[in-house]
Amino acid sequence: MTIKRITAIITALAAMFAAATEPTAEKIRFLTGKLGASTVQVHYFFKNDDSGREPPFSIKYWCSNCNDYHHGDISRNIANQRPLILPGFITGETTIISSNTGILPGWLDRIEIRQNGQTIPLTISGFFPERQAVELTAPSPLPAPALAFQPAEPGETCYYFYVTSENGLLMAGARPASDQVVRCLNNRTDYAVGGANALLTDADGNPVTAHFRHHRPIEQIGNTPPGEWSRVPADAYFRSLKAREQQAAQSFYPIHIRLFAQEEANQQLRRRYSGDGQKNDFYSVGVLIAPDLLLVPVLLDPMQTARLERLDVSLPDGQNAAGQFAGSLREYGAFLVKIPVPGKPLPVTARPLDRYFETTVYRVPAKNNNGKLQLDLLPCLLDNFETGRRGEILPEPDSFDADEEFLLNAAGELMMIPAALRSAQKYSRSSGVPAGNLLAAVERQELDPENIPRAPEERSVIAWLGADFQELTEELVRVHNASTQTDDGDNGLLVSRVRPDSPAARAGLMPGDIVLYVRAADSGQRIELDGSMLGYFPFDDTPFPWDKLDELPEKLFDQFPPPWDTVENEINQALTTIGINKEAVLGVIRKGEFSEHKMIVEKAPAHYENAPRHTAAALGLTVADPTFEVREVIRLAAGAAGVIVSKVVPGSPAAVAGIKPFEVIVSVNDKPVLSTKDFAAAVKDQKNPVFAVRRMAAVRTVKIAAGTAAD
Amino acid sequence: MKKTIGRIVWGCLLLILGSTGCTTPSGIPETKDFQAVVRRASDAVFPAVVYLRAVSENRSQGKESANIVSGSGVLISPDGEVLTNYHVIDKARDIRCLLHDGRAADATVIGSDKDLDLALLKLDLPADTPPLPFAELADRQVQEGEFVMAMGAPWGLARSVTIGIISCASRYLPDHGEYTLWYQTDASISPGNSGGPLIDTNGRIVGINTLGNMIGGQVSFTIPSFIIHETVARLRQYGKMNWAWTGLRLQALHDFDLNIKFDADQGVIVAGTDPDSPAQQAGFQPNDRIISYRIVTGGPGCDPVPVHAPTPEALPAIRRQLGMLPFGIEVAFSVIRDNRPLTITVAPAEKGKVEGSSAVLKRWGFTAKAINRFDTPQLHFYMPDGGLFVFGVDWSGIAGGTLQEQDIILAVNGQPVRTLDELRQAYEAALQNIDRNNHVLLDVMRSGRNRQIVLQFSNEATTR
Repeated sequence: MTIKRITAIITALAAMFAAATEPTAEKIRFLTGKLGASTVQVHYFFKNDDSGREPPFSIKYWCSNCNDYHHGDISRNIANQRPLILPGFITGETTIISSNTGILPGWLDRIEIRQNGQTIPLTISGFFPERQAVELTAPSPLPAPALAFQPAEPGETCYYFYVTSENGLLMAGARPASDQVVRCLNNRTDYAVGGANALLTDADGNPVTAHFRHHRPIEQIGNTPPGEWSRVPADAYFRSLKAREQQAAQSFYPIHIRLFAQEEANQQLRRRYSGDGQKNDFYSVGVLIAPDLLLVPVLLDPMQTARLERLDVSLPDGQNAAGQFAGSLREYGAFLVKIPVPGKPLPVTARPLDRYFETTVYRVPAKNNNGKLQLDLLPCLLDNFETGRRGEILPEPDSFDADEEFLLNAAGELMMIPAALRSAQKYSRSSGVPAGNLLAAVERQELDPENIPRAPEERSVIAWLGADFQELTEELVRVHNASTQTDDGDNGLLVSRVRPDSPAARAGLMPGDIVLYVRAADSGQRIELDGSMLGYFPFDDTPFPWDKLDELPEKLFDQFPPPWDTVENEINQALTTIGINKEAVLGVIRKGEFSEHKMIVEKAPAHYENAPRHTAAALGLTVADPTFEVREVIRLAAGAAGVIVSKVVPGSPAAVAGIKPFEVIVSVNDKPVLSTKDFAAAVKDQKNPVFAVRRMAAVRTVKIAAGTAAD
Repeated sequence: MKKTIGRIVWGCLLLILGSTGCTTPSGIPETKDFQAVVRRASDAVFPAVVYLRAVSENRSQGKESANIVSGSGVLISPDGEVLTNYHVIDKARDIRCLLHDGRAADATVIGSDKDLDLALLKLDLPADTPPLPFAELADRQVQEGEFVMAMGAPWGLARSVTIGIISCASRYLPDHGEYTLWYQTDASISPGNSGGPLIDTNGRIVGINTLGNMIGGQVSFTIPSFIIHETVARLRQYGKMNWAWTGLRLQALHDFDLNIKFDADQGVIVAGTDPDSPAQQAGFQPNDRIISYRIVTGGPGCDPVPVHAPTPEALPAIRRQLGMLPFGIEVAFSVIRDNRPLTITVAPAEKGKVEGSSAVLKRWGFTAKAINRFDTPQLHFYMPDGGLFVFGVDWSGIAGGTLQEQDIILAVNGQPVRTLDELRQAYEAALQNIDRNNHVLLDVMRSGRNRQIVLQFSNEATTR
């Protein structure tokens, strides 16, 4: 053992120990003196792009000072004209390396550093893809020296040195450079951890390299100096990004979904959808998954799909084409459209999504701008995941809006599609679906046969329960021994009536039961029932003013609510989203005991909104077949003659004759009318028909002077 | 206003030659001294006008309470029979009368009818009371334009008289016209005048003041004396009118308001039939035209009675005729249907009570009433087999804020109730059980929908 050898060993040992300890203030001053001049703060100033759009990306970078991620909200920076400040290191006469945070040139106003009172502009000149770093170049030599990187053996690295700008204050610091390694078991890769946005130095403070990634795959990325990094020139990088964007755009088709307007049974019958239900136009973007098959990730429930009018698809060459409805997915909020002109489908990745940890993926917001596709390809490093439905591991890149954006891998294959789950409640959305799941569902033809476009007479497709509910009060639940389970009446509804031969009856519900929730049998997600789902029936507290109906002004005829509560209420709508013919489960409290009742979701029988109607235009009168809920209120037995007046045109012969909405026409010219067909036949070509009109118990004869025109 | 009329009249009368005190066959005086005419007539009748004050039971506020109703009446016989309106003595517990000469007497109701709004009372006076002054009912139809005077006690101001003319001698009021046409007058009739007489210038009662205005405006209505002639005997004999009921709803051949004109010159139209009524069961259809009817008895001699309603004004008389038929005896109606004659036979039923009885459920804080098809036709429509409804809710009681008027009571604590007796039993049972169970669960029907209401005795307010 020579002295040299011993010295070497002792030095090595000392270095090891030195590496393990936090640097002293003295050491930091030393490092700052040595490296500080070459560590700059790069100022990024942003702007909205030429079409006025705000940046679709946001910034995330690791801060060694805080030992945590920083997030930047770029729109705030634009509004306050504040720069984003990231550390950079001078690597050459005119070059600086810094973190690649996904900034795209369209939204970049300028980049600059400030040294010795000078403001020096910079441009992005190159990318180091594996390193998540950019190379910035100044137009003239920088007023500070470049760093002289020196190799170091493992074990000889000592510190991560950094200078960060904390709201204007420059903080210089150093952390012990650990050789911490983690192994991700999902993708069986080892990563070195730590030191992002910092210089790796040896014990003497010499810079070895700079790191910008918090997790570095050990096999790919070592401590080589920047000079040896694989570099892509900036223009080549942006060009290839653009080419990839254009290529991807070939497979995204803007689609304009048009629905027929809802039939105006009565203006007062508002549908209580969460905003979307009132819409008849949807502008969306679908993705081509087969040469002639477009997947459109828009959730249309059966009541909307029933009214589908047309699907206008914008093809990549600028032409428009009519798409053909090809089925709604049963489990997911998406439907298929057949395209007449074949195109380029996007392949779907076959790799499990968790294998994409720490790889570059593309967030793709795709928007339909009045028929034109607006698509961005936003590269980002996938370093975050979440556990989703049924334990699936789903990528969650930073600021990824899984409800709105697609996710593509580096090869341009589909990873995630922004579709919702069907059995989720209307106001809570799930976060995107792995593209592989959707493709598998399509291949297995898992379509909902009830969620299809329908002919006008079948459009009001809605499920029904067949039970009437009443809001709970504290006293009521106490009487029914359900105070705890309903939280003193906050949750649940009381069954006040069960109609015979209804799903509720078949499920065994009885008056006095308290129903807490309903859910699809194969889902744990519950649709909670409470007072807010009851909707507002205007005649709950005050009876329908039958005896004052003569005073109803004609202009209010269309707006006056009918005396029966609508079958298309929120509870039945919620049932419809579970799916017709699907198994569902009701959570019920009876006499204080909780139990679950199985039921099959059934389509509601004909009801007022979709009952067959006949309009006698010359008379200004529309009648409808009285359906079960109508018969109950007006006490018209099944089989008894009578059709219900659903609309009276103000000023028309019928209005002048005193016929009011919701009266019953029992006979025409002494012929009893049992249905709207009877009525249509009876008034055909009649100039002055005589009606027997019933309003509750009162009957009167009405003669109409139809003027010149016959029906 | 009266002065002007007086002046005009005076001026007109000056042109008419005739001796003082003579009247024309139509009864219009030809006297020069109009004031004397008025005074003579009113002086003759004032002694017969009585001021009534009734204490009436009022259960519409959800508890037992009383109203004081004041009105007028007129003596029509020397032994103390008084005519007044039904609504003055409706549900009265006791009635006190103030006679013209200052004597006060109690009165009892001999007979009354809600549809006619007529009541016959008898004053409780000692047996040896000398005969009382009274007024006679006129037995003629008045004519439009005749002078009439309304006597009574408007706003309690006894011994008042107002003057006007007959504005219309055959007024049809759809809401009050079941059996009555009305005399419309511009003599001022206001609350307090109700039940008092409308007299002509001969001092005869031509009508009983019934409907007026709160501020005594120019449009008031009285029951014509000829209708009273037809009906008062029944009130006297049976205490009620014993109306017969078929359930026929009638409509005139020409109705301006409904803009209907049937192509026929005889008969009355059946608009429809009440549900579960004799007429419905007998087969009457809407649009049938009845041209006559006759009582079917064993022998001949019951001539057909033609009926004709060219306008709605003719309907009350027809309804009155039909209403005064005997119950249970078959009546054959000649009907035209589809231009073909047919005969439909109906035995009218007894109309019965037109208002259900009521009960006070004091500690529950509401009053309940039986559903009656004439009083609450909508509720009867929902409960044709009978039932109970909430008549009034005491808002300071335990039902205030939850139970509502017109709620139909279906069950109490799970037990169905249909009659007032069943309800009272349930009430007593609940009160007895109050220590074990301090709430009441009611099943009610509101607007056709079932609900449950809980009454909590713990919410009962206590008064010291």
